[in-house]
This record gives sequence, C-alpha cells and structure tokens, in this order.
Amino acid sequence: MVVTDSFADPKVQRILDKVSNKSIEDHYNPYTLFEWPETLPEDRLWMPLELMTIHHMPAEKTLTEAELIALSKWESINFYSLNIHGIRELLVEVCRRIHTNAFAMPSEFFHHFIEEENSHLWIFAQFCLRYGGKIYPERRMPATAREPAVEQFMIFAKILIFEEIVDYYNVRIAQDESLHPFVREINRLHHHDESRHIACSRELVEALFGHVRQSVDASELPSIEEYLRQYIVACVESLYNPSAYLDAKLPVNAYQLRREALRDENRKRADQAMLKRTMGFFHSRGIFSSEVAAI
Amino acid sequence: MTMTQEQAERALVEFLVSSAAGDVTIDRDMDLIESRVLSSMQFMNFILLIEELTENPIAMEEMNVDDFRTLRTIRQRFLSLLPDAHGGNVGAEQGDTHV
Repeated sequence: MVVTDSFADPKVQRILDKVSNKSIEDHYNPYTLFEWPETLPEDRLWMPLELMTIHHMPAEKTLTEAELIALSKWESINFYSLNIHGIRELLVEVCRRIHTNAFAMPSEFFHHFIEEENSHLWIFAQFCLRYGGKIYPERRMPATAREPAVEQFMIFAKILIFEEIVDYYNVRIAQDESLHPFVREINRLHHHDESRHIACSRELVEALFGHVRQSVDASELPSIEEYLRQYIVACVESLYNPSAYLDAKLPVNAYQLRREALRDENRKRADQAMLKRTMGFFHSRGIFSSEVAAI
Repeated sequence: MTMTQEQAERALVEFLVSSAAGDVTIDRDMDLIESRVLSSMQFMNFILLIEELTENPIAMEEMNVDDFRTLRTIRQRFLSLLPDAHGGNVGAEQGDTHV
C-alpha cells in the first residue's frame, strides 16, 4: 500500500478542495496588509495575563506592574519566535513532499498552505525584529529517521500539535480588548488562516494514522504515542523561556523560576486546559490512549 | 556562585542519569545521542542546564549536534569557560576520569 491510499476517503478530498477555494477567496498581500506602528506601548500588556507563564504562581504576586508588562513583551517575542521556528520546520517538510506521488492528492492544498504560512513567517519575523530586536533561537535537536509511514504521520501530527497550541494563544490574544489593536489584529489573521489549516491537518493526520496502523506492528503503536506525548511536553516547555525572564529583568533566578513554573500545579492545570482540544482529538482518533497530557 | 568544570560536569551527568529510561553508566566518550541517553525531547532542558551552569547563553545557530555528542566534547566546548578544580581554565583534559 502506498501513502496515496491514505487519502482515498472522498471526505478528505472534499475538505481539502473547500479549504483551497477559501484560501483563493481570502487571498491577501501580507506586505501591504498592515500599517506597522513605529513602536508598541511599553505601559500596557502585550499578551493576556492568563497566557503568561507565571500566571497563578507565587512569583506573579511579587512582580511589579512594570515587570509584568516587560515580561508580557518578552514572552510575546518568545511566542512569535516559536511560531517562526515551527512554521519554518513545517514549510521544509511540506515542500519536501508537495510533488511526490504519495502526496499528489493534497498537493493543491499544500500550495495555498505554503503561501499562507510564508506570510505568517514574514509577519512574525517582522514583529520580533521591529519590536524586540531579536528572534529567540530554538534549542532543538534534529529527529532521527524512522519507517516512512511513521515518519509521514509524525511530521503531520507534529504540525497539527503546533498549530493547535498556537491557535489557543491566537484566539485569546485576538479577543482581549485590553491589548493593542495591532497585536490583536495579527493574531486574528493567524487564527483565521490556521483554523483552515487545522481542519486539513486533522484530516491528513487521521488518514496517515490509518496507514501507520496497516504498516507497522501493533506493538509499535505505544512508542509512537509516547514520542508524540513527549513532543507535546517539549512544546509546552518551550513556552517557558528563561531568556524572556532575563530580558524582562525579573528580580529572580530565571532558570530557577522556569523549574518552579514547570513544577507548579496551577501552571500544569493551565497547560492541560491549553492542550484539552488537541488531546481530545488524538484520543478520539485512537492515536492516544488517554486525554491527559503528561505534563 | 561560579562552579568548577568538575561540579558542572557532575550536574550534567546527574541530569542525564535522572532523565534516562533505565540504569545507565556514562563515561566521557559515550555517544549520548546514538545511545539515546540524551533524547531530542530532553535536548532543550539539557542546553538550558549548560547555560545556567556556565552562566553563558549558547549561540545555537553556531552549533551542530556533534557539539553535544559526548561529555568530553561538551566539556571542551562549553565547560572550559569555568575554572577547573585547581583554579585555572586549562581546558577539559585535567581530571579526566570516569564520571
């Protein structure tokens, strides 16, 4: 069986066609879409308090308003930096497959996906460089090679996990009326595009998992689940960046604060809430054995 | 307080042992990547620990995976910034014992 057969379900084709048509209708020029403010105000939050990594921790109460605002700025730069690294990785993987026989069916959708993701890449890089003067580097190690069916599935499962986590932030930032309108607008745009990408990614992941089930021994499935669960933990941990704590000049040991935050029960509850929809999807499709993330 | 190279190396070994799946003995030339003692998922936490111990950010864009492949390389590449047990920065080769 070739991977193409994974997409034999006409429902997948229908959804990909619909999303591709919507991309054409909603087409925009990212380079002229926004009036970029010269600066963003340094006296108001850059992201909702509820999305910050110290929210509901003892440390939150010890910080001054100015320190909280500074942290919201640098955690925003970290969030958009993570977007940049995630998008770059998914663009590489999708470009590698776009004209292969195995992915002939979603190829048209991939063209729109690449264009929109490249727009997001440019917008987030502009934001980080204009308002933070930097893009935080990623601290990742390249993954090792796996059996092809598993590799294809893992790549699109990781893309979906990344898109869902980012979308959780985008929705809340776009809705928060206390934030600067420009910050809300770029998050609204990203959510608008990502909701289409997530719909397609879910179809691709489900189809590719069907192919994995037919390609590998059932005894290998727990290790696939375990890998993706660890990936989710790594994604969550990357939101807790000590470099952001250092840039915000918090009066604490940044590395110690990160360790405390990752152990904090309130933070774990907040992160479980963020992952609820993603875990629910992977569980309902039989990819995960439970809906609880191992954070 | 600045650590010595030996103290920092011990902290890295403790991290690797505690995050490994089973019992593991680590020597300076063990391939941490190939043996999966250092997994891709723990990589970020390992990097952050090196940064904390050396009090120096790591320029990731200048690194490749081989820079983290063995404790000997890690010691030469990153920990040599720290004083050794004898009080100098003489590189990684002094006190070269199993850890």
